[in-house]
Amino acid sequence: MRFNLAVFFKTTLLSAVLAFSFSVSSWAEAVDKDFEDKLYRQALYFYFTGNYSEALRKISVNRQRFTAKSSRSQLFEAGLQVSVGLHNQATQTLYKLAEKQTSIEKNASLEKNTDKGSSATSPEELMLIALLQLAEQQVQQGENKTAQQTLSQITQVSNVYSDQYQVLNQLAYWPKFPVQLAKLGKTETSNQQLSTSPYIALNQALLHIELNEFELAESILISVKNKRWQAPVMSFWQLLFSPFSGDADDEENANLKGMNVEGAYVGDENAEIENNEEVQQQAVNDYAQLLLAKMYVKQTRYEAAYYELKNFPQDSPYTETALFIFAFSAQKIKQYTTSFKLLDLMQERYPYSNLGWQAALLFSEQVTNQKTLEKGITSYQNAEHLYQQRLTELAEFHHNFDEIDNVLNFASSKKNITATDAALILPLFRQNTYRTDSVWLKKALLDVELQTHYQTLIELDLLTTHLQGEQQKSQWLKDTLRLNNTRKAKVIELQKNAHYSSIITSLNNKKQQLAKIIEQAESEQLGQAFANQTEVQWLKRIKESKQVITSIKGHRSTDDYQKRLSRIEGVLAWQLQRELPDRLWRHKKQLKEINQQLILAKQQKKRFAALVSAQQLKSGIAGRVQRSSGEVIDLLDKVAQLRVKTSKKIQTNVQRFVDNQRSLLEQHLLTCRHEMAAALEKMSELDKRIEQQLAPNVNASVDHKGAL
Amino acid sequence: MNMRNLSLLAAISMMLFFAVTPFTSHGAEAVNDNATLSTELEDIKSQVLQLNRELFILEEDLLFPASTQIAVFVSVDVGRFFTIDSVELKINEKNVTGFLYTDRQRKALEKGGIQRIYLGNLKVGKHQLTAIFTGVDGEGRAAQRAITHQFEKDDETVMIELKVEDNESSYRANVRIEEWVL
Repeated sequence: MRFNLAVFFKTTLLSAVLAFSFSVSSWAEAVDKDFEDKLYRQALYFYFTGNYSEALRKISVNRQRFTAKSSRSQLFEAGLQVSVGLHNQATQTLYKLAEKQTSIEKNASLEKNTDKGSSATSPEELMLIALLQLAEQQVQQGENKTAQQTLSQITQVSNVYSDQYQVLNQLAYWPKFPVQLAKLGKTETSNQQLSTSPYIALNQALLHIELNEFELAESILISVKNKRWQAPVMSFWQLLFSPFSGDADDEENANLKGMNVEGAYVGDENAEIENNEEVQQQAVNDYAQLLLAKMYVKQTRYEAAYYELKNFPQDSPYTETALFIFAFSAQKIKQYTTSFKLLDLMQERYPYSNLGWQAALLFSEQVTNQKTLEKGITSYQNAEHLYQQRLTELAEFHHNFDEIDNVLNFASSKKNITATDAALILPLFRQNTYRTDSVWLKKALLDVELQTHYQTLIELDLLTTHLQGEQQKSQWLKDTLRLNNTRKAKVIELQKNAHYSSIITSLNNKKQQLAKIIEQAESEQLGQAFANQTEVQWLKRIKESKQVITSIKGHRSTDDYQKRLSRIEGVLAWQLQRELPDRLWRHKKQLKEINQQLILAKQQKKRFAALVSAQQLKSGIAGRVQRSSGEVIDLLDKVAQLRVKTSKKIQTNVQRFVDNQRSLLEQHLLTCRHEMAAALEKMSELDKRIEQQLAPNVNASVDHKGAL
Repeated sequence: MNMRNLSLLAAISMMLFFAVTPFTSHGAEAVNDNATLSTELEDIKSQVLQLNRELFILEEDLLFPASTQIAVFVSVDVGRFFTIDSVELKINEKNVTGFLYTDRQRKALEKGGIQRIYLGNLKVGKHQLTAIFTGVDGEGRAAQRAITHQFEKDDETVMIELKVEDNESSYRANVRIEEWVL
């Protein structure tokens, strides 16, 4: 029984210790998670206020300073990295996150629960988001095979991410039909059926067109062009990974709270978003309509194309192409009045567009065929003049562009971003689109590559300004450090003379003395202990008088003296006893003050020691400042080099554009002259025919005259 | 994913139907060149971000060392019974900062963001923090909420969060203080 009891106690103790250690560790973990959550929410504040650069800096400072690297922090960082164009870095972050999430899923259900406790996004969802975003990055970088592999890791897709998954799948497998391995949250659609997302449907239609399956494509496109569709509900993470989508207040829809911030938003829609959705909806419908018309033209079903585009909106982003196809189809189905007007309108509206130039040829051809040859030739002459004029303008543009030192200064529009405040905030989060007043450069900028180079150039200029700001800051830090060091050196010099040890010893002595007196007075209730100088003198005199009385006691009567002395002694003792409580309190107060002085002196000593060691710390900071200013110089140099390279690329691109446009115009000019020659030939043939028709009459009249 | 896909599709479809495009393809060399440029740009951007972070930490280490640092944060939980307009902060009876919120900033707080409203230096010892929030209550009337908090500064950074919380039972918002534990 004794043994059992001992075992019982041991077990109980052990379990208590274990329980305590577990609770301590889980408490520490909870504190860590709580603190990490607060750090993350600080970054969120910046994100929601639109200060993306601060958000990115905060999240990366959290990682560096507090080793905060929760899954959602990582995902958040990756999203912000995408926004500034750090796609490779974002991909790396997402890889790490995906690996981490896989190990979490494999290892611990406990981890899942704790993660759920602090976030609305479950580890499974985080994993899904990470893989989707990773695939998106890979698709954008043209690594379709890798994207396919990434997508194949997804086994289940919830409703919110279903559309994104399907579109990514289509893009990754383009131009083949996608292989769908994941289980979708919503009803899966077959290839023939129209999916809920118009983008998925448009992709499907395009695939069918490519495979010459026109009937299937037609049915999808007809559905899309007529469909009113609900804009997909985007989650916080989807919005985060859509660069510049949140520039307006899209996130305002996220009527979310605190920890649940990553959930799908369900809040009220404001007017701006509604308007954007309306525009997007219209653009999708228009695009489907245009695609349908193009397909009809490809099938030579001109009448269908004509009727398809008859009601095409004027203010669509696809108006130019639609107008051309409409005019072309009208011409083909012999709706000449309409095609005349449309081709004329095309030339007037788009004088610098390829379609506008082609319209000029079609117009002349129609005039030649429908009206007189003279008018046709005049029309061809007008077209020729147009091409020649454009060629001259193009040559002039090329010459001027070649002359310019800074390509950003070429006919730049006033709307372009100036780098005024680039030094204060990180400029990478801006959508830097170059705007120009030059018609030719505008046209050249339709090329994505050139536009990207211009954007790079703007970014590089903003980075230069920003780095110059950082250089000033670094210099300011150096100066501050120097001033601090000088001030601290003075303080240390002053403090060295203060001899803290002797002050502390003296205060300690005083303290001990006083404590002793107080203790004695308190225990013996002795008023004399606190006698002042006069009272001490009095006491001394009484003592001396007593000695005198004792010494003269045998020689004369001392009774009277004795009585008087006792009376004085009694009065003094009474006075001292009366003052005792008050004096005791005052002495205690004094002791307290000495104690405080002692504490202060010790603190001062400690601070002094800290100051001396802080000097060493500051030397570390000085090294870091020095390193930073070196890095700034290096970076400025790199930026300058890249600027030169990018400028050269722009020059090359523009040169290629000019060559292309010239060859195109020359081709049009040649065709125009051929047509004109053909028309002239026809005219001369006609003249000859008329002459021939007239000639027998002439001959006959000559003969008749001769006969007469 | 939305408009980006559309533009991609548009590009594909243009290629499908129109042989005449303003630009001819210019080979793998140019593509490689562009990739190199883009990698270089990414590297620079990444280094700039790193530098920016380094300087930020340096500045903080130098101007607000942990031994003297105090940071005050504001957060809002729900925000139905009190719409925050401004906050005024006093330390040891001295005004140290104030903040007037825009709609966007207020919404950022209501969505769960935490704002660092003050970063400063304090001596080791006991101190008093007073926060006065001004705003509008659930019924649209101007309202104020205030709180005073005694705290002790030691060698570690002091981090104090002012939490404006809705109280469901009293239908009003209260301010609660939480000192963060590192």
